[in-house]
Amino acid sequence: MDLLLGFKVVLLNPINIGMLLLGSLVGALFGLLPGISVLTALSLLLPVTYGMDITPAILLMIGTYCSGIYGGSLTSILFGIPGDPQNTATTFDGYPMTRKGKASEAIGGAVVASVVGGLFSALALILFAPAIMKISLSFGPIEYFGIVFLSLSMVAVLNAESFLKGGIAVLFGLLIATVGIAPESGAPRLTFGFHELMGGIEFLPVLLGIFAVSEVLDRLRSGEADKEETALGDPSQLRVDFLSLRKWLQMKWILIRTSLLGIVFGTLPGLGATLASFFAYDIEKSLSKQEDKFGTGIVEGVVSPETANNATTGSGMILLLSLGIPGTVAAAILLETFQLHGIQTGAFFFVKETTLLNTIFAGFIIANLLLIPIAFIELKTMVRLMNVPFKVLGPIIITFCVLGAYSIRNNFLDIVVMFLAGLLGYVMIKYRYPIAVLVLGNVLGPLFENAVSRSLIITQGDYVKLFSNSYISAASISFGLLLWLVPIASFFVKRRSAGASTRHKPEQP
Amino acid sequence: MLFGNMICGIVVSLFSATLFFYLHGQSLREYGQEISPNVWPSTLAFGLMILGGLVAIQYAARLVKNGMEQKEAMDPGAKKNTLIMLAVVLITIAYIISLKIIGYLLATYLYLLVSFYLLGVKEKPKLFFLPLLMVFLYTVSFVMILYIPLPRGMGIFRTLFDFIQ
Repeated sequence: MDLLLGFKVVLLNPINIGMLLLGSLVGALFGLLPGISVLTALSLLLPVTYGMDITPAILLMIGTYCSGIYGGSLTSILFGIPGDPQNTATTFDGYPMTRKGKASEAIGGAVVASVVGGLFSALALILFAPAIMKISLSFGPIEYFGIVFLSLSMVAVLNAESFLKGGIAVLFGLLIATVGIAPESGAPRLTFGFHELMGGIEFLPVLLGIFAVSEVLDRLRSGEADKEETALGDPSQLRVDFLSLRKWLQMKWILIRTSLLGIVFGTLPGLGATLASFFAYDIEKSLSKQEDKFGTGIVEGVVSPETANNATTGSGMILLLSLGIPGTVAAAILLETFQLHGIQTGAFFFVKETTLLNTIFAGFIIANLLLIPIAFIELKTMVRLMNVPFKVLGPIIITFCVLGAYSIRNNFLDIVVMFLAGLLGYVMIKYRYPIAVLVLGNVLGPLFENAVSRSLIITQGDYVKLFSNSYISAASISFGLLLWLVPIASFFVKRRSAGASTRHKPEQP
Repeated sequence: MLFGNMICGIVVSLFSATLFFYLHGQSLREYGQEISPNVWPSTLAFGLMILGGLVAIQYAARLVKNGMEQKEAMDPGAKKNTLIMLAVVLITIAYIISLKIIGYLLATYLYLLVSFYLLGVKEKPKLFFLPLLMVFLYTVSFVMILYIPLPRGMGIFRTLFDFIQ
């Protein structure tokens, strides 16, 4: 591994460093705008990367991702409105700090915490991705079947209000991935006579529709178009107060613990930045000697969630780079970036694309360090952009999505797919189905189907051998099945105890 | 919401059942002997059918338990927002259809103009010049920088497009 080469590729090439900077600015902007997530930013940038080389393309996405995860903390702190779901926990102490007149300390705390978490995460990526890749060399279809089954189970069960809805979302995502040519036989499936569907349904239009268009429709329905420009006051009064070194040394264990938590949550599929930030806040609150002060406006309440959510950025790439399995939607979008440029992640990637790999490692480190100047820029300039009303922004996003969908292969069917995905996404948001789970199911669909069919060929149709032939598969499948069985069991237990309490209710005279 | 969720479950179940029978669901035992291309999507459709049915039953049971939801009179604001959203959906459909006929330059400009007006943008400079600015930015970014050809339209509109470009 030659990390120095990676730094040279990023820093000595003006296009590469320019894309990293641009991505950081775009990510900060999208993170700042409430209701428009960093995933929307990544989705909208994906068609733009189509005309680029892979290196600037992936650096653009990395910059957007790292900066976007941090970006929403500013609105969380200043207005009590999270820019993105992963910044919600930051509002618990960030906004009270603003009300106490300590906004600058909160902002400075959030920036440094994000940088530290992000750097820990980059370090985890550099150390663990090659190690897991080496283990994966011994993986065959049976192991992949187990791991993907576990990933999909975690994503479906942990990310939905109901495991039934999570199951529907993941199955639907897998189903969409079956459209096109069957991998084993080469026969067309679910094409309904349309030759344009022979190549399958492109991922990018689905992504644009599911995240960007559905979000616009949902915000229109909830009355965002009626809101006039927000009165922000004078942003020139705000500044970034990085706090003293002594204060940071006092908080060193918070930084270490929450970084490790973020790394674990980023690596394991289905968990992600939002859960990491909430868990980090709760854990630090319970461990703190000032537990009763959490929620009243202390900087520890800002540092904990912000470190954890940024610590998921690099670690979310570990399984993507080493196994080719994205554990989060952001990783799935980055996977699509690779695939758009004809690059396959996994073990072969470590052998064939060492320069790109080192560039990615260096990119994550530099992107996290860039958060410091980005914080200044965001505060002084971008906050003004929040004055752009949604009635202007919404139609612009839709036109960008339409043109972006068309740009993949100059095919109107992609625009139709994008629009239908947008309507589907809107319905899913309204009835609380997890849209991220559908996207992950769609991305992992081909890999899972290949693993299923090859595994059953190896075992000659014997399902028991899926357990007995491989410890990894046995453990993964068992844990995955447990994830499904726990909510089913708890449903019956609740019903039983509700029935018992009804039976024991004293009769009315 | 309970009623809507129940309907969602029924729709998912019926859609999946239709797909399942369309694909002529095959026995899973055929894996390992001769793999039909439809076995995997059939399995998924079957799973969806079951889960959709369970969701429908779950919400139907809740509806029976809680009584039919009292449908609150939708407040005028919410009704207006829903109508605006539906109008934007219809305009977007018209935009997508018109892209092929009149080209992206004119279609995008008109779409943005109509959408801004519908959503309440009153200032004339914003209404007329902002769409123009956006069309210019799309042309520069997609066509000139990224070399991605965008729809040029048909007939006289194609001629107009070529003239402008």
